[in-house]
Amino acid sequence: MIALVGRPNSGKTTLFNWLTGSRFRAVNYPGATVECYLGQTHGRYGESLEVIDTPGTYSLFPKSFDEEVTYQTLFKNYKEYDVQGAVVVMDATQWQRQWPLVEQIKESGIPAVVALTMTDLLRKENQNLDDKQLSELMQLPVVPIDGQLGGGVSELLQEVRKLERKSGFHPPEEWSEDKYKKAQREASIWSARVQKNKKNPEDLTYFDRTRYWDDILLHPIAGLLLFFTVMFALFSSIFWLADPFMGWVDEGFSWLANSILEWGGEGSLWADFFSNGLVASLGAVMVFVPQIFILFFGISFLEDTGYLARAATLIDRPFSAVGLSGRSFVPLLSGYACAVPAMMAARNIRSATERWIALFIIPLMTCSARLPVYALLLSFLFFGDAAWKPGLALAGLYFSALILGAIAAAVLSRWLPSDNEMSFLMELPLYRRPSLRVVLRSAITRTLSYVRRAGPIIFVLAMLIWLGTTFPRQLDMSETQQLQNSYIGQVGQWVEPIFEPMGSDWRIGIGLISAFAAREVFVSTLAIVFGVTSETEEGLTNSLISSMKGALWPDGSPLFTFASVMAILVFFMIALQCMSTFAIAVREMRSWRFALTQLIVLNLIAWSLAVVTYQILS
Amino acid sequence: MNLNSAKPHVPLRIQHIDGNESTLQRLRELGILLQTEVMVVRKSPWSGPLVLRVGTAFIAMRSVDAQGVFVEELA
Repeated sequence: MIALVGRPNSGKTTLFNWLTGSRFRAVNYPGATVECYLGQTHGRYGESLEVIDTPGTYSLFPKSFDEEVTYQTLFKNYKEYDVQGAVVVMDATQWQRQWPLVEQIKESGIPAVVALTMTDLLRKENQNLDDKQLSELMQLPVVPIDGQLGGGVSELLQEVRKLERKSGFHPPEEWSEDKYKKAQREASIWSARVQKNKKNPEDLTYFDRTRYWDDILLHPIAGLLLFFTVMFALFSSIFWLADPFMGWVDEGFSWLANSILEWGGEGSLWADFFSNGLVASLGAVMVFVPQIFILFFGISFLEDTGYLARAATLIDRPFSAVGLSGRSFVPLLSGYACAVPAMMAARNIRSATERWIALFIIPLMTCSARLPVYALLLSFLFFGDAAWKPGLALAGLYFSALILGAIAAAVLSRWLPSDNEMSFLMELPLYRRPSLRVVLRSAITRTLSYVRRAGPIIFVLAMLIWLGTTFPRQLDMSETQQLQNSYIGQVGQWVEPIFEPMGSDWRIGIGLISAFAAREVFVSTLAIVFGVTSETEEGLTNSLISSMKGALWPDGSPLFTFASVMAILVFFMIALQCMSTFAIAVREMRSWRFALTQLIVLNLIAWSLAVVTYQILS
Repeated sequence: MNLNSAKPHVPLRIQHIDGNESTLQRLRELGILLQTEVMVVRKSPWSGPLVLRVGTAFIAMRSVDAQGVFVEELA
């Protein structure tokens, strides 16, 4: 197996794309949550070779969990990842700065070929880099690659095939200041020899362009305004642009489910199983696809242009106050649309500790599935009042959730082991025109990885909820009675003592339990529990509100009071009642323990605060 | 004078670097070595990370790390 090694933003992923075409899969390194990509070289390059794309690293002396993965791939000699040689990816516009990493690879004895990327940028400047001479000086084969067109890839593989394969390498001794100085001097002497008509950096268009754009994009006022504009656009795309697509997915599956029901006939268990069980559960998985695809298209686009690193720099300060960094901004912002794509977006956080914290607090961000619940409960509380009152209350809910998230992050960052990558010390890439191929591919990869890996868990959980609400089956009952007598209904009644301290009875309890399918299900479950039916959504809300007003405890006191509704609102604000979020947490952290801890901790806090709210207000 | 107090767009030379071992290492890997010429190109609002130019590279650095990098102005 050949390992691709290089600095972050060196063009490593683009090269990996050219090498493998679509023949790759995401793998997880033993004991690490960081993902690597493993692939086979494309058929057009002859006999296939196994290639592993390692996380970007600045040196062979790991300082973050990310770099640790690269280190282990090269030196731990795991059986399933037997690295026998390396392709060191070197950005031609910055090659002098990257020479130390190449020399460290040489010192460890790994047979290597240097792939020189971004050569198209140099060529446009009439800056010819003599790769033959560079190869002699570095004493390694050097092959220029054209990232835009894929030129040089087969030459690179020819060189790789010539390498004498070895195994079992040892890391070099840690480099001192002097050693880096020596390498720097060496590279600058070579630079004069291999780079004819060398220009001053100021005269290079790509460098000048970066300076020009940074003046604007990092400006304290203009830069921040543009930052918020870009982020608003990104957020809108998953909040509004994805909406019609999600609607189509939803309608498509509902149509299929209804057709099956009609065809199977009323009361047929098999038709119910296929439509409300199987098809509806598949729909629960697929409904997230548009959001995930659109979000990752946007993120990869911003990353590929070089802007994402600047965005993180601009917004870093407030995040550093609670132990996070600017890299957490996009995942947390996405959490306001939906925790599922948001948790996936957290993969762009380089520090493993920070990623852990971000994943933990993402469910606290007010996702769009909470809106229908808030809408119902606030309309109940402010029935007939001026519109600004529920509006203000809604803003209060959003804001409180944000404050809670910040507190949670601050507490967690004190508890967890610190990761050096959290110090936010990084090279900003030069601005580049993004490659549509790379951007599309990243969006497709993430979407497929969601369907393949989180999909099955969501599907199984959705099926379990169907089983819980469908059985035991009694055909002579109304929908309301059926739900009350179902397993979930029975559990709801059985655990009523848990909900009582927050002012809720078993009927609300059933709603809270079935909301685990998706938070907005709370509304439709309440409608079933109270036997409310209506053709229109507005009619449903109004009749539901009047049923809620009439709902009583057995002793005749009203069930839905200011105190009990406030308690439910607090509960929804914090609780992790979403099987899809749970499934994604399992997959993203590759840990059932993390996901279960998160589930228990967040729901326990939600319940405790709901109880406190009810007890104070009643 | 450390990087936090350096004026933007003035050429600087690094004289001394303080910090924990892994930060020192990371700074070296980024080419921030003693006697290297650098320039602060941007300071972020609310003392957020500053952007440092080293040769043809731009490096983002938090003020807590920048405070250990001591420089002198080049006339």
